[in-house]
Amino acid sequence: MLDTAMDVMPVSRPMSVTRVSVWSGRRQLHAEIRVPKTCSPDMPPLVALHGISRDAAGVAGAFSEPCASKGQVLITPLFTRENWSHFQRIGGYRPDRALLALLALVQQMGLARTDKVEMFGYSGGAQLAHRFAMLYPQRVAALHLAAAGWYCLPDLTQPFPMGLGPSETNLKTNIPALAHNQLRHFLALKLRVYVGAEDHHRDEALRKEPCIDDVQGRHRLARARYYCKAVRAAADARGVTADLSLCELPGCVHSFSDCAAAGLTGLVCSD
Amino acid sequence: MKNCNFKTAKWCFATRRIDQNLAGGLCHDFSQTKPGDLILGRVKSIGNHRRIQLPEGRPSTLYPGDLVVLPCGARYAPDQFEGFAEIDEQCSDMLAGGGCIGRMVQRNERIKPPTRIQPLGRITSKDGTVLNTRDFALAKPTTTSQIPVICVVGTSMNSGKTTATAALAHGLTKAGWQAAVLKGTGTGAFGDYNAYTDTGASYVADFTDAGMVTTYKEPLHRIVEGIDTLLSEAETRDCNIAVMELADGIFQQETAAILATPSARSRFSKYLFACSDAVAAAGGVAELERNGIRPIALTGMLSCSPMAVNEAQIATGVQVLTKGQLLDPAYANTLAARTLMGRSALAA
Repeated sequence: MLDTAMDVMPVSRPMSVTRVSVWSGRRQLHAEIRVPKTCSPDMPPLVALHGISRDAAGVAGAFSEPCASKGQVLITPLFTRENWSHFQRIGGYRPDRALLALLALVQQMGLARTDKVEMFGYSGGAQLAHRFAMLYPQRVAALHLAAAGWYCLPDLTQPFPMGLGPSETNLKTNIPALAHNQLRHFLALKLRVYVGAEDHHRDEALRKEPCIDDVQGRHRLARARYYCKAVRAAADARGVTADLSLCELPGCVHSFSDCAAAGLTGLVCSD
Repeated sequence: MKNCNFKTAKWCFATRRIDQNLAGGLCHDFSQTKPGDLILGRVKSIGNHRRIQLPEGRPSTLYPGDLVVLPCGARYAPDQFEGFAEIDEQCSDMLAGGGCIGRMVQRNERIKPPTRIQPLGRITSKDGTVLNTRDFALAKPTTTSQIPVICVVGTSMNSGKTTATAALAHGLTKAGWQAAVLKGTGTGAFGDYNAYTDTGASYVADFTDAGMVTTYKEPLHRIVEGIDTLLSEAETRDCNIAVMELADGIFQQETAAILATPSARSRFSKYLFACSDAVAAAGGVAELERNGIRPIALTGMLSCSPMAVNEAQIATGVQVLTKGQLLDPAYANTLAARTLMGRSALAA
């Protein structure tokens, strides 16, 4: 089921802003689409996903200027707590389908071509971003993951959702098998991983189960480093040339605004 | 009938590519009738087909005395009729609702006798040339298409092929593919065509777009040429994947010939097999393996029953996908990925 609502705000800024919403099953996803006055038609839009604080407005504000300068359409979804309490997971919930519906709507409205997008996510948004890319790598022109709490590793020895091995619980949708079929394509994606150089605290939001601590590390910095190694190893094992880099943002803890102030948004948009 | 107003007739769906303004006269010599020739007829009696499918995609109720335009064609439909592309000028048979007129040779015992049509003539242009569906086909391709194709085959009519084809096309479209949905063999009818169109796919066509009212009794080379025409047109329209349904079951003679001929089946990257139960799944998979074909998934009526799914997966080792899974963009996308991988391997 797909339904839409649209509200075009007055244009008095470098980017015109259109608000849309789509339904995916019983859940609604809201988003703002910012179209620069001078838009590069062949440039994939940037989909920027918020973290568990759900500060889509903050994400939009941080990316507006660099996207406007670049001529890139900016799409900032908002997964509300009421509809998407665990939006970063693909399984029982299907935020991937909501994102696909959103991309289809943006194209249908003529706001941007969305057959390929650049995808950015911060924290929980980074978790959703890489899981989306594992299922639909052909839709992703570049994947930017910032400070994910933990990762779904391209590793068949790790049970899903930590890796792509069989899940220890019954799954309604066999996500690990589906992602495994796309793995070679996923490993060839342009992948940029970012994390605060001081993001080594075990805060309340961080998952601390042994199954993650023991494999990926005890904090986001260690986990980002481990993820990059795991992606590179998986790519090498399959003869795929990885296009991957890790950027540790100096002086940054786990804070989107700190990371943005340290140049994260500029790095994403300049790459 | 010199001044016949052909527009008062009910033209059937299989004539949809033909400009009705071209109709200018009638040829009363039926001895030279070829498959695809347009026949103007008058409904004599109503039988199995009580309605005719119109080019605009709606059915029209038939009444005795109605004028109809149907291409001459054969019919293969185990749940209805078998018929040949032959015209009896006294009275012929309406073999399909979407169009074709011919001679019924046998029928399913649960089906009424065919609607009877009195042929009035073969429709000609103003210069006397008989109008034939072949002359209104898409242009033949000049190059071999490279588009990856998922071919949907099944055990028989009503095994779930069209449902699977449409569901997969919708799933692929949701996943962002520019999908073409095509029917490679069968008899012209709007049911499947409309089901394909409703999926939101980028391009929809069938063998009638390649000039054939039916593929039954057509030579293999012409059917393959038609398939190539459809795939080439899909590529021209920027589609990047195609789902093609082959009608009826894998024992149907034209479908069997396509699958048994390496040069014909080389167009297809992967196969979905639709069937009704686990025994049919086992038999179908074994039959396909005789031609070196292993389907990427089973589907169809079988998939409605979890117990049948389990039996079929144990018997064949092939995964069963439900309609809901084919509609799911993540599943459709993984089938596309496997299809592209197969294509790359072939190219390498």
